[in-house]
Amino acid sequence: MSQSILPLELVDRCIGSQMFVIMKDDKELVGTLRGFDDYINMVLENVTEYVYTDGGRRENKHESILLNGNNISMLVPGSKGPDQHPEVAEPGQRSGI
Amino acid sequence: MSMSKTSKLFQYIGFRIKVTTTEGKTLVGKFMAFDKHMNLVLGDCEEFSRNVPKGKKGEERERKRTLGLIILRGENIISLTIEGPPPQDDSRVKSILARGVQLPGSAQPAGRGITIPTTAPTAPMPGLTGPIQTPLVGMNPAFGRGVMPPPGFPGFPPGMPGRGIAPPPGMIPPPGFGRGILPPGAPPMKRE
Repeated sequence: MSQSILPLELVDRCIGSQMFVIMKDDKELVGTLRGFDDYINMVLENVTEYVYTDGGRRENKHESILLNGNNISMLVPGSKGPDQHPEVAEPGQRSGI
Repeated sequence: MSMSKTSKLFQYIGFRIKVTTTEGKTLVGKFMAFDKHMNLVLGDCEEFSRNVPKGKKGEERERKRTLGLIILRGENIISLTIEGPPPQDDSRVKSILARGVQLPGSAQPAGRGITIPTTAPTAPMPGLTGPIQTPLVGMNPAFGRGVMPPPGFPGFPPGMPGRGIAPPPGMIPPPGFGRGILPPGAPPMKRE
């Protein structure tokens, strides 16, 4: 029926591979996706958690976590983490955002 | 799952869209998929954010991050707007187009007013005529341009300039002058 893959089907295809998870607050996680449910609660393994605070970035390691899907903002399949997506300052202000 | 082709969002699959999220981020990427929660799949996605992390106080610059393929949770979406038509070199869009769905913004070949003639050319532009396409039996190749049309050929319209003018009787073109063009009104050449 559908010509393109559904978002959750794409998550399903990522099981077993690395996933970069961007949370609603200033937290990001990188780990291997083991499983998820309809709420996108996820089980991740070999997780590195990046917490952005006033003092800069802090890293926490976890062997295995169950992540509540409530606070997830974005998923980047196959990404190895924030270092793979360096931030660049945009020249000039974009208006109308 | 109620995703039909009548869905309003569905017609924008393949377009570049801009999404504003509750965190104040803006995401620009190719709209590839959505579901009932408005979870989105964006391809070649770039993330713009104004709110710098708390570690860099005072800086109010906009930062950009290239994320690539992402899944965005619909819960966090504030607004969604069309940024541009589908990228033309996109194989996925091509496959959709191959199925007969005509998306707006698809390209057609365009020229500069020169059309390829499908019928017999009438009065070609001077200097743009090529060699005569159909080789005539018994034709002397050295004088390819100055032959009269064979019998039965409808002939050229009267007053047509350029090619196909028969050499004056008795005139032999010098070697290498196969083009046989005489300007209208020019006195006939005499060989002494």
